[in-house]
Amino acid sequence: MSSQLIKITTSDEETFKVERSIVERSVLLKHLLSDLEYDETDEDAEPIPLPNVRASVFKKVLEWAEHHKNTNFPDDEDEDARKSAPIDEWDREFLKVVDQEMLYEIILAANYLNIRPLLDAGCKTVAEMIRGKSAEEIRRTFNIVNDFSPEEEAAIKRENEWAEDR
Amino acid sequence: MTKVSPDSKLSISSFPIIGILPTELQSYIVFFLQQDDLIELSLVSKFYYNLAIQQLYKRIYLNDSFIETSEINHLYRLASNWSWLKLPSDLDIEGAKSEANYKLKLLIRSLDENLELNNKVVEVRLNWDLNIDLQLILVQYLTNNSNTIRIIENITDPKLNIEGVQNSRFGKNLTSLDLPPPYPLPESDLPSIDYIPGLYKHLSTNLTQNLKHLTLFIDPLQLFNNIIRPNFKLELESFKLHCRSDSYPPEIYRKQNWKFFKLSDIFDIRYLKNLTIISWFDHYPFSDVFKFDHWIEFENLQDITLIAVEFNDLLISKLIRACKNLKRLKLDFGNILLLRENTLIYRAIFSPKVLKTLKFLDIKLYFPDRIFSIDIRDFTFMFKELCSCSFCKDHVYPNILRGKIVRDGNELLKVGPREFYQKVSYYDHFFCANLLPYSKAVDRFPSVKTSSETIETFLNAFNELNSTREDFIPLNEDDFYDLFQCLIHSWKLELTPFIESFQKLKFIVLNDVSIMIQNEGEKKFPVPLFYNRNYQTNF
Repeated sequence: MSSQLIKITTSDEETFKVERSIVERSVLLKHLLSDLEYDETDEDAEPIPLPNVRASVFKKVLEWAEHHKNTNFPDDEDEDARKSAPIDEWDREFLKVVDQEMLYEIILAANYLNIRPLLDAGCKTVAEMIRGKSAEEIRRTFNIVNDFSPEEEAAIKRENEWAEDR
Repeated sequence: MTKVSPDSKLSISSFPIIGILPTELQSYIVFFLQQDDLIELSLVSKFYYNLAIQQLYKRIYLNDSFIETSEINHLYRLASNWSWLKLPSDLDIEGAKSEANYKLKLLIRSLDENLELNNKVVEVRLNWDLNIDLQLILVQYLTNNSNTIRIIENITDPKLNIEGVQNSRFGKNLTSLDLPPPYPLPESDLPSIDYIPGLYKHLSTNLTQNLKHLTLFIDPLQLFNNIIRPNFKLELESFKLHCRSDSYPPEIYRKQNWKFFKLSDIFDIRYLKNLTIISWFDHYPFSDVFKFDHWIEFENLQDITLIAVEFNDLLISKLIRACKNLKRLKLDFGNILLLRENTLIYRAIFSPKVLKTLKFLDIKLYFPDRIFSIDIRDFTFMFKELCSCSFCKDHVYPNILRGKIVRDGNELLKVGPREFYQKVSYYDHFFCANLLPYSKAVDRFPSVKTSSETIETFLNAFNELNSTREDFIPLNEDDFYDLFQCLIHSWKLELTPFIESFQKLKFIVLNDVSIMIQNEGEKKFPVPLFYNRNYQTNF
């Protein structure tokens, strides 16, 4: 049945053969397949190029899509629910084991491929790394340099007074 | 005042790894953070300051009391889209209000000292109980300095419109229009001569096709027939009607020359998604004021909130059944406190369409079985063990309910069942104490503390009430949490149909107790959002 798989080539020239149902988790690829009238039974069909995604990252995206091929995700339009819901437990474990660079590359790939649930899971994972930390701890976690002068920092603390415990 | 330069750019060398994400994606990460974390993030660097304030100022909720947060925040972040005035939890009602006014002054100070902050605000929800002059200043800042402001909700004083919105630089950008009543509370006096011209002027400039959110305190048919007649159907997304007994000049009530007879003549039925009707009547009103028969035409309604309205079983059930995609429903009746299972409304909630679409439900149900009750036939006190889980059966019933509150039946014979019941009926005292926070919708809006009662003051009062009983042992905080868990367990029978039948139901607020329906694999079970320390389900 390998002829009925979609061929996709990543930026580093690795070609993957993937089931249509998995590929179509990506809204970008779903529309592309439809626009190109891509026929996976045609053995001579050209692979679809993904110039922005490396093979190692695409493998992770496929692993995620394979796991979620039967998942019904909530409506995209419900911003409150998207923001408030926790990260899916499997996604949390899946993203926990990758290093920061791979995590950001997965986020970039999910954004490029238009896979909203993976993008949300990736961004929520980074948000979790910020949550509950002090400004200094956030700087250390992400290796960020403090570019405020003491006066600027004092001004922001004054500005935030309405919104914080005193 | 030192300002933070708004054009600070991401420097890759400053934070090499996360810097591979473009600003829009880093901004999307910040979208998932809430107030406390946004405040810390704003102090990290100039780049993150700019991302943090974008979220921190986007939707501001002016609260006059402490906002309660759930201890199960890891399961769902309540009201995550709002920022609010941070108040200490230990203030009484007046103290909290005074502190809230002070925090509001600080918010205005920030908007004044850094005008760029105004351009981050999209929505603000005002508060009836905060200082009206301070709120006017806030509205003026936003309508004159913010090119992003779209919604100002809960305008309750005409001067906020006249001096705050009218003739302002950006007031025309608002997609919301709140038309406040002539007086803060309904009065039989006719409003001042300026009220109607002021009303007309405000409507004539703000009744545009951009209008999406409308709040009225007046019958829309009277208003749109006798004061101003729009020459297009309003394409509202949300409409809120306060039904009050205000008096208006006679021309409001004339029915001659009416052009519109149905609400669908005024509002385009295709767009209305959210309907809120709030009754202020403390007497039995004419059912016509709620216009349930008109709303039945609005089949695209997704969110219906009825507060203190007349219990009209037939029309409200028809309204629920008419909705093609009802996602949220809040029902609270003025003349019947608890909904019974044999009502048409209850059956409409369980109709096939609603079972597929409903995500949020807030109702007050009649529970025939209660842990403490009096049998009116022979005036005896009854105690029912409604849950058979080991926590209730082996701990709460023997150690707390029978071990501390009701230890000896002989006591009942001495004082009589009614007096005995009034003292020991713990859950009645619990519900009367207003310990449960209130929210317009617990998942989306902040939950406010409505009384200065705490667990400690509540237990002190209950222990004091029972202190003269020889067999009573005072309750402590652990008992409080255990009794609350036992209460939720005792509702298993009533909760089961909601949990098993609705495909998408995530939140149910039952008799003011906010509950989230949690999924673990195939298993679904209820978890209370507040007072849930060490909660274990009996499902």
